Amino acid sequence: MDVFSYLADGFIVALSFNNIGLAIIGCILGTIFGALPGLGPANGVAILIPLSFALGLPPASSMILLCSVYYGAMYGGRISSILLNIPGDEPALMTTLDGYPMTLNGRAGEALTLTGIASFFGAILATFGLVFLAPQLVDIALLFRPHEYFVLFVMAFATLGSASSDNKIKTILASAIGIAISTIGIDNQTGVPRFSFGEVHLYDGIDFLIVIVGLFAVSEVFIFIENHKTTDDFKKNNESKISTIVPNIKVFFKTIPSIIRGSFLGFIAGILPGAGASLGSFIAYTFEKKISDKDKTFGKGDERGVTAPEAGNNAAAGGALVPMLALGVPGSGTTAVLLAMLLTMNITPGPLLFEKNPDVVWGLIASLFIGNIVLLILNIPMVRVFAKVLLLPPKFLMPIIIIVSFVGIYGLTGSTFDLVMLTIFGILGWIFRKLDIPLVPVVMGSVLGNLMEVNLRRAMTISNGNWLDLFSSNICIALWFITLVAFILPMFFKIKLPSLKEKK
Amino acid sequence: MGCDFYQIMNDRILGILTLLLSIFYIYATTIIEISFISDVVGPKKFPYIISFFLFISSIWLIAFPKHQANWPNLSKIIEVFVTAAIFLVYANILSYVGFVISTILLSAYISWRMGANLFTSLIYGTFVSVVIFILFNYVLGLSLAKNTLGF
Repeated sequence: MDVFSYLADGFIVALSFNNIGLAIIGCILGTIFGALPGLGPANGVAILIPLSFALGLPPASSMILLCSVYYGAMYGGRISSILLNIPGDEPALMTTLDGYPMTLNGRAGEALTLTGIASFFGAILATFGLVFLAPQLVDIALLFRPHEYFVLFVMAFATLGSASSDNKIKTILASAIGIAISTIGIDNQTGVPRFSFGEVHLYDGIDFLIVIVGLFAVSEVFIFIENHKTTDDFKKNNESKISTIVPNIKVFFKTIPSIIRGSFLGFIAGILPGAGASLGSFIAYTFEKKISDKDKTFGKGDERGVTAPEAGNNAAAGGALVPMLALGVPGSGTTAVLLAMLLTMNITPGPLLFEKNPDVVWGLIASLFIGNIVLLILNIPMVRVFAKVLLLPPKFLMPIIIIVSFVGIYGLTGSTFDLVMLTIFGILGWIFRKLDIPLVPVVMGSVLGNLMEVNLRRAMTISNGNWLDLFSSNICIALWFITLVAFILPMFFKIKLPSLKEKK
Repeated sequence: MGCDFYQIMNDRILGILTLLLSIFYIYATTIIEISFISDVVGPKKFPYIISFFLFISSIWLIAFPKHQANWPNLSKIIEVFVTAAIFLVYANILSYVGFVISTILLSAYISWRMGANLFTSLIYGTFVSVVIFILFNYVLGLSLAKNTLGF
C-alpha cells in the first residue's frame, strides 16, 4: 500500500462523527489557548492530556483532539501579538514586530487575515511534508537497534540546549533532573525499588503527566499570582478596531513569496531536533527581512513581516511532528507532551506505531488537514470572536485553569497524593522559571528517561556489556557526530532567540 | 557591586543545592538492593551516569555563576507559597468535604487574588465549581471526589 491509500484510510478514521467533533473542539480550545498571553500550546495540551485519558478516549481520538489544540494554538498566538503587541505564546513573538505596527496603522483586520492565510499555508505544507517524509524516516528507523535509539535520545538532549537557551549548563542540569525523576520507582527490569525510600506511592514512579501539568500549567498560575497587579493593563489597549477583513488583492500577492519561503524554512526548522516553532518563526522572519527589506519597511508594519513568521511557526509545528511520530524523539516542549500522551496509552512512537497503529498515525494526519480548514474558518471570518476572548481577565480565567488541571490529574488515579505532587511540581516549576532553568528539558527527561535507560540496558544485554558497541555502527557514529556538533557549534555561533521576558 | 554579588549568589546557591541533591542521589543509588536476577547493566549504572552530569553541572554553576536574578519582592513570594499551601489543603480536604464545596473555596480564592472583590469571587467560584461538576460528572462521566452527600 502506498501513502495515498494509507491517507484514505486515515480520512475514514478522521471523518467519523466523534473525531470531527473533537477536532473542532480542539481547534477552538487551541485558538483560545494560543490567543491568551501566558497560556501556550504546551500548557493547553498538558491540561487536556489527563482529561482525555481519564475520559477514556481511544488513542486516535485523543491524538486528534490534542494535535488540533497544538495547531490551533499556533494560529491563535498571532491574535494578541497583532492586536496588543503581547505575544500569545512564544512562537508568536516575531509576529509582534510588524503586526502591532500594522494595528497602529489601522490595518489590524488585514494583518489578521493575511496571517491566517499564511498560517494555513504553512500548516498544510508541513502536513504534506509529514505525509511524505515520516514514512521515509520510518524506513531508516527500522535499521535502529537499541544502541542507535539510545544515542538518538542523547542527541535529542544535546540539541535541545543549542537553540532554546543561552545557558547550556542549566539545560544539562535540567535534563539530568528530569531523567533522575524518571528513575524513581520500581526498576522494571529487575523489580527492585529505586529512590522510593519505602514510600508506597513512589513505587509506581512519578507519573510524567504530573510533572508536565505541574511544571507547565500550575507554575503558570503561580506566575499569574505573582504578577496579578500588572496583568490588568492589557485590557485597556484592546479597544483597537478590526475594520477591513479583506486585504487588498495586490497586497495579498505581494506576500505570497514570503509565505512560501517562511513555510519551507519553518518546516525544516521544525524537523530538526531541539528547535521547534519558536526557531521556525525566528528564522523565517530574519530571512525574509534580509531579502525583502529593501525600503526599510520592516518593523514599521510590513505585511511580509507578519506572513513569513506566521507561515514559519505553523510549518515548524507540523515539522516537529515528523521526528516525534517516526522516531519517538520530540524536538520541542509540546511534542514532548504529545509523546507523553502516546506513552501513557501504551503506544510507543516510531516504526512500530506506523505498523501496528496505522489508524492513529494516518487518522491523525488526515484530521490535521481537516483541522486546518476548520482553523482557517475560525481564524479569518470569526477572528473577532476570538479577539473578544482577550478581554477575559485572569481573575476569571485562572480558577478554571487550575481546577481543570486538578480534575484531570485526580481523574487519572483518584489519588489525592497525586494532587500534592502536582502542587510540589508547580512550585518547583515556578522556582525553575525564576532561576532561568528551562522547563522543557526537565519534562523531556521525565518522559524519555525511562526509554533511554531501557534502550541502554537492552543494548548492553545484546552486546554482552561491551560499552564500546555504542560506537560500533555507522548510524551510531553519525548520531554521535551530530550530537557533538549540535553541542559544540552553538558555543561559537550564538543565535540568540529573543525571549518572552525581554518583551514583557 | 553588591547587586552583582547578590545576583551571582543565586546561581551559587542553586549550584550548592543541586550539588547536595546529586550527592544524595549518588548515596541513594548506592543503597539500591541488587536482586538475584539482573541484566548486564543492573539498576545502578544509569543513575550513576545521570548523577555524574548533575554533579558536574552543579560544580560549574558554583564556579561560573552568571544569572540575572528576577525574584519578586518578599510579599509576592509569600503569596505564591500561601497559594501553594492552599492547593495542598485543597488536596487534603477534597475527599472529605467533596468536590463542589472545596472547589468553590479554591476558585474563589484564586479569583480574589487575581483582583476580583470578595463578593464577585465567591459568586464566580460557586459558578465555576457547579458548572465543572455538572460538566465532568454528568456530561463527561468522570469520577470526581464526592462527600457523603454525593457532591
